[in-house]
Amino acid sequence: MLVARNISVSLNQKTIIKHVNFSADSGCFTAIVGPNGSGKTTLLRSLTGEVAYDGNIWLNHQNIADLKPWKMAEMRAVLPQSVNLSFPFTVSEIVRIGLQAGRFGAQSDLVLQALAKVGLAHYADRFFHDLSGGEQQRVNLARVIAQVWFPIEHGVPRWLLLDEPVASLDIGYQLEVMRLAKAYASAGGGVVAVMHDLNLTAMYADFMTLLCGGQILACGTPAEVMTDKILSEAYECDLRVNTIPEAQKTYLLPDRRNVEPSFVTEKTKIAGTETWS
Amino acid sequence: MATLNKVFDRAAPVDRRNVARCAHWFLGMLLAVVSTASLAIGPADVSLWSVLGKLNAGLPISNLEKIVLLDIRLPRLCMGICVGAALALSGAVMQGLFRNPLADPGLVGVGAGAGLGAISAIVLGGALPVPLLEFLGIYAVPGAAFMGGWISTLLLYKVATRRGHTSVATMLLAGIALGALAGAVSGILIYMADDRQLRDLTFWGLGSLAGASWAKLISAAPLILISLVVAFRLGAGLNGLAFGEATALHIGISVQRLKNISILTVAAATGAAVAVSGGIGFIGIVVPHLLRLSIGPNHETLLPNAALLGAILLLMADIISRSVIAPAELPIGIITAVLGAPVFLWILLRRNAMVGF
Repeated sequence: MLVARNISVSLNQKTIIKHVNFSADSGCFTAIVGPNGSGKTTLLRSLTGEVAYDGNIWLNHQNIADLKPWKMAEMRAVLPQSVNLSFPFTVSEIVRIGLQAGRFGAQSDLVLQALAKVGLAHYADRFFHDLSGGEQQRVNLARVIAQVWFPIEHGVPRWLLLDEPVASLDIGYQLEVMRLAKAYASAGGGVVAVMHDLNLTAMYADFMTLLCGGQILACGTPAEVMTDKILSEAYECDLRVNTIPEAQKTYLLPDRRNVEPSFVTEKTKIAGTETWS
Repeated sequence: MATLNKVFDRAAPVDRRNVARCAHWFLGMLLAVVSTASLAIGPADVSLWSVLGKLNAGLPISNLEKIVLLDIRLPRLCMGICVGAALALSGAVMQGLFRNPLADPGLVGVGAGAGLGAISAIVLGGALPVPLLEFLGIYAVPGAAFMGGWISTLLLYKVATRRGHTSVATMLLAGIALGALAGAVSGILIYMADDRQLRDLTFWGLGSLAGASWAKLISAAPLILISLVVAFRLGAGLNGLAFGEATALHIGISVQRLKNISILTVAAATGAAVAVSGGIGFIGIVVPHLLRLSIGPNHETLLPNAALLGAILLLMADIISRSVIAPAELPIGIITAVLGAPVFLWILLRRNAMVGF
């Protein structure tokens, strides 16, 4: 269990999230969604222990405020949105650094296995800096997976905390990464991911928490949370949720009937109209 | 294309740690060779081999041989090893801490602070009461340099640390400001100095191992050795820090503690080294760079190898400095600059071609 109670985070005297309660079960893929600036990433960062917060967070029944960083690292691995690497490490060296942070640092063969999981085993000797953005993100995912290789150990689950894991990937790898995360959860581990793509969330998440303005607007299964009313309120635009008939899976498309964006140009300003021609 | 795929399709990745282990042995043997050379070569007409032969045969050795080998060359050798290792290692740690391969203890004002301390002692030392001067003796200049290094580090830490968190960017900028301030005060002192003091200042500023003695070594070596031992344990932490502070925390590193220890280690090693040897440049930047090119940036193997290579390079520079115009001596800082500056420029040119180097 990953449980957060009454979490508030302020950065530079500005409250980012206030009185948020969040929980995620092991064996489930839990998504955190919400519009830009709603506090999704901040909530994830408080779960990782990265930002100072008010409230309490328990990871596997231990308050994370009492856990040493290296103990936390054995229990959960974190994929950040991007990594700015300052020295020329090779791909396999990066994955090994992740592996050594976990409990199986001596098992060198896991480096290649982790890379194989993200389809990059043949890049082991390449320099990280020479890879494309999407490949770098997958290498980081391999590093994170190597850190908590076994989803469950002696009945204690391990956790993957992912911050927009598919943000810079094209669609094939988006699906691959989501399947990987889902498989980790199915094997007994816990997965918490900040997601931007609502359709992928609907396809893969078991539970989701919708944040809006630093507070929780809704939480539950995708079918419960993703309704026209809730999503339209959260994203401040008309959204229409549909289901694919045979799979009964939710998907959504933006509603075009809404007013199109308009710009005020010098010309229209003079004419006194609001249409952009 | 098929060949390209074949190249990348290796079964197991190349483990640069094995290369690093080989480098370890190679550098260790090279250090032994250079150390022997350092004992054998010198302007005095004393042969290491004949002394060893005499000792072996149980014959007495002359007073001259004893003084030259035991009181001049041996402490100088030990000092060279200590200072070279300290400079290279503090450079490597500082670069890991700042996440920048061009960072150097000189950049954060530690060197400038130590320099100000030494210059103050040389210029203003005469104004001190005679009994105090006698008490300080040869420790006056190195002691003041050491204090200057420490004070600038503490000031820097106070400026750059807010609520227990050190901002690396603020620290770097504050270091530049402190360095400029120390340089300005040093300039005023140099302006005040008389001819004899100016000569002393010039020699101190260029750096030298010429003043090596057991007393000086004893004053600096323990601090350097402690900082070396501590620095060797920072490898995994600095590797994590290469990914940024957040990721370092995610992989289990106590980031603030790592930063504190790194800063203290660098201040201690640089302060002590500068105190006994003056401003010897380029070792701290060139050594870690050369190693990163050959064995990779993994700090766990980089740090011990940097200490070895730093010692080797400084001893070699020292041998050159006392052989070129023997029996006179060229300040060692000139040699390291002549050898180091082209390497540094080469690295900069390479850096354009290869991101991250």
